[in-house]
Amino acid sequence: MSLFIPNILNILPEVTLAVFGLLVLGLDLLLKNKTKVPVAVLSIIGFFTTAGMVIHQFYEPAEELVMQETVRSFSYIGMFYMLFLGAAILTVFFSIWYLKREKFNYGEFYGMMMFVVLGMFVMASANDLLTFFIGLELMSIALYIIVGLFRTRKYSNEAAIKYFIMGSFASAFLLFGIALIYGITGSTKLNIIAEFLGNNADVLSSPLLMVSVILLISGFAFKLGLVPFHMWTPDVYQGAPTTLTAFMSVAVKGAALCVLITVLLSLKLVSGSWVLILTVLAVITMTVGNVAALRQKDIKRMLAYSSIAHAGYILVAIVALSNPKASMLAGTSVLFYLMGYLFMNFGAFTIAYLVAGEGDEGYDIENYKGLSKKRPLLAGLMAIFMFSLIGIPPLVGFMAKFQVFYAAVKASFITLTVIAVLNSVVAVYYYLRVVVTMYMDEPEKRGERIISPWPVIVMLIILALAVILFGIFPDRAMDAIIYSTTSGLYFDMF
Amino acid sequence: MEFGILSLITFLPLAGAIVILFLPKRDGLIKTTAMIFATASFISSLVMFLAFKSQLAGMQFVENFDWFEIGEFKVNYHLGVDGISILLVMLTTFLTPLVLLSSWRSIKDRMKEYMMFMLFLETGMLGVFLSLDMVLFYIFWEIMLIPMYFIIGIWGGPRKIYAAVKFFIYTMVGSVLMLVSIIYLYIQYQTLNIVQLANIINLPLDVEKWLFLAFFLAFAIKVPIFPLHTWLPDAHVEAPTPGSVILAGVLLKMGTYGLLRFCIGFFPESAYYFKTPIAILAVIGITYGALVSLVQRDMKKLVAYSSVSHLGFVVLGLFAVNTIGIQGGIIQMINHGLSTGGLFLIVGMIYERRHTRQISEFGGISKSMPIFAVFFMVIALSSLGLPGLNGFVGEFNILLGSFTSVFYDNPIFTIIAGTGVILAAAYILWWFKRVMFGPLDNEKNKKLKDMSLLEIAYTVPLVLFIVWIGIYPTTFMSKSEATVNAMVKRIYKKLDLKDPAKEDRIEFKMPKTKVISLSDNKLEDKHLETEETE
Repeated sequence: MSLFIPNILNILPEVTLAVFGLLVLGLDLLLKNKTKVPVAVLSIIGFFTTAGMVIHQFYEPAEELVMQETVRSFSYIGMFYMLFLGAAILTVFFSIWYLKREKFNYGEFYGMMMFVVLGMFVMASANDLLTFFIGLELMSIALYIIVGLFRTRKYSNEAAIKYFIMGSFASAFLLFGIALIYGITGSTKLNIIAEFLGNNADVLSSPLLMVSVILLISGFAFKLGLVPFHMWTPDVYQGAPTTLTAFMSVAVKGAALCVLITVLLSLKLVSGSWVLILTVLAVITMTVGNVAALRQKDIKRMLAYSSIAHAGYILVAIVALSNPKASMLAGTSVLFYLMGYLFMNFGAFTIAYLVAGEGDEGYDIENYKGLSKKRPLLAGLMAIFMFSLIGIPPLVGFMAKFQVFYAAVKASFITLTVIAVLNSVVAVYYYLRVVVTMYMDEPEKRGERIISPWPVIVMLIILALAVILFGIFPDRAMDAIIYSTTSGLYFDMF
Repeated sequence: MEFGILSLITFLPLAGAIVILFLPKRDGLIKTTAMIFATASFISSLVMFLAFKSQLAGMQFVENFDWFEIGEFKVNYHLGVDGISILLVMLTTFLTPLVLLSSWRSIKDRMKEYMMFMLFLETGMLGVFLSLDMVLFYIFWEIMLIPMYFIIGIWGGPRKIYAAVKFFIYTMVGSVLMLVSIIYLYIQYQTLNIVQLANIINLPLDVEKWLFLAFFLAFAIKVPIFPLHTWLPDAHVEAPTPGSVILAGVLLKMGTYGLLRFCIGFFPESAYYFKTPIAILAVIGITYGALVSLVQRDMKKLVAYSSVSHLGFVVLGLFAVNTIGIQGGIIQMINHGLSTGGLFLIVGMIYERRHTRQISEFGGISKSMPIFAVFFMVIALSSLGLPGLNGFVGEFNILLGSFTSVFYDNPIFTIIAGTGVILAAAYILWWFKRVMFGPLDNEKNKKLKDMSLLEIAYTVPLVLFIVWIGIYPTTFMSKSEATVNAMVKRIYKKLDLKDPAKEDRIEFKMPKTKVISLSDNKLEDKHLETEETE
């Protein structure tokens, strides 16, 4: 028992989240048929408290394995925690007005959000593949529920079912992969696996390990929406509540990436032919995502395909991990990319739901005609987010891409970098189309009134300022991230 | 070190744009504010111009601060001006207020956004010319796309969206590859300082070649060099008159500036390696642009294609890599800014009156618009290179430079380019004749009003400088001479060629024989063997 108390302190953020999650669900029961604002506020308080815990815990990085070596307590992972929390806070904040407008104001949404984040925490920090799997399932099941939140709507149901079935497939793949790895190495703990593979180099080329790794990578590819495992992404992103779509495109991907980095490093997959496989995945993911986005008429689908492309760019950084000279850089660039993407993507999706109007149907890009005359502020903000997504300096999207490319060139993947930058030119076209429609097309006569509550606008302005300021002064954000990677010795561990 | 005059020049327009953002939507107020800030920027650049020491080759008024540092990557806020950039900076600050004046009446819609974008654009362009840090340069280079894109896309003609998007994507393709090269250079040399890099870059030719090509593509699209010019006619035709003036006057110069500063300055060996293909493209551009101009029915298209031709001259002069050629190239950039900018203003005046740019609609205008005829005449003659006006100075120097160039070592380029001068006279004079002379038979043309005071006000300064450069170019060329000499010297030393200043002077008298003997020296040179065997 005496051992248990210090142990639980190591996972204080997770415990806090779980407690608040239950409290939120309970509060929702008490507030039957009334406004759900208190529920949302409580969950935001919960997220902030957790953030405090995370900062406290990682202020002096422990950099060790805790809880019988099932959890990694590393400041690099702490940065991912902060990313998830930031995304969750924004999601809950924007959802208050969104769910009210759509008259699907269920308090469960906020409770489930807390469990989604809890699941992400568990999976991101897992050292044991089983712990990881539990976290993944916790996150996924909570997500399946809220993806289908608009339960009377066709698209929403389609999205939930599709996500559930595809997600289950992916989970099964992962589980099978984990089982095989256990069979080979005799452990599910990553550090032991790493040690085993270090001592038995001959296993590295065994077909069984190859099969298990392929299963694992396919599972991750599903979760990350990498081509060719991306088919579910546009439908699910389209059908899910828009605020949740933004969350999924940033945070869920972030969680999967965090685990992917850990697994790749510990399974020694950042060398040899695996790098080639990841490179190919990166190239086709970027290219297919961008080319498919060109043809989309629905802004949510467009952003969904573009998020596939962005995952491809991040994968470039993952490939760059393979070169020890650049692995630290690559690790920081992944985090910075996700952070920048968080700001731009939440901005874009939030404006998308505002413009869509009541009933949530106006996601056609045609709807943006003449927005700059009707709502100059909204149009201006959207333009900033779009230019940032393109990667125009000095916005944060540029700095994010720049660092990924820098890491890749440093790791001598020059051809890959060239393909990536050319891809980012393809992306110009579809992002610009939104700007063109807003600024250069004449407004249509009809067009419902856009209701934009002032707190949402204020938050959007803050996001736009973040996009600009983190672009001009990226070092402020990077210091924290770099601190987490260099002090944490995360990349030297394996 | 404090923020100095260069920051003031660069960011005054941006400050103006921010002030305008918070102003009420009253056109008069907005226009005046924009004018004040643009003029203030011009005045500060004038102060800088007068304080500039022509005898110094290096950077002056340097401002250098740490900007941000991410990991091992260190970016500085580093501005400076030397002989290569000072004239372009002056051109930018000089043209912008004139362009704002020309939009006084012609822009009616969304004045606030328009003025903001114009001022924003000025900051971007000035930043490109003044940056001494590669990343800072890249940021300004890219950011100026946004205002130009909006200016074409919002205030442009019927196919404005197509033109705006085409402009944006074309430029992006070139510049992203340049970004990869910038990163590569940083990883090699751990510095982004443009002045330092020019001195220390020393890579094997087969690596340098690729870097050169990446930079070259970015700038060649911007210039534009044949066959990458197809965005230009679209952008020009669709852009509103002030947009065309800025586009032709300054934006295209960013490309030629980049060619000189980076392609030639950083990678002289590759410039030497690729000299022949580039010269061929340049002369194709000269003749092709001129021939296409000859058959245009739309006046704006005619001027747009004439830009392709004129900038071909600039490229030919720059890649001659001798003092005369580069000096000619630089002064020709300014000339082109003045005269082509002026021609676009002229076309704009006609268009505002008749809402058509078809040459066939006009004839005998000189009778109804005598003052206009005078200004048109002067600017047209300057564009075709009449001695006594500015165009002649640039073209003459370029032709002389390319003829005597150790780089080209072949008079054929000069000869073909010379025909471009003749063709220029043909298309411009023929155009002038069809519009201004002949019978005044179209009823609509009889009632045309002559130039207003406002129009005269923004054309006179242009004509003044056209004549000034034509009669006494030393005022301007002396500013760039020291820098260009030093640059040529450095390149010749690196390539192991003979002292250019001396050789140039000898070549004045007996070019042909001397050139041959130079090429003999060159054959022995190890660096250049691969080239010669081709």
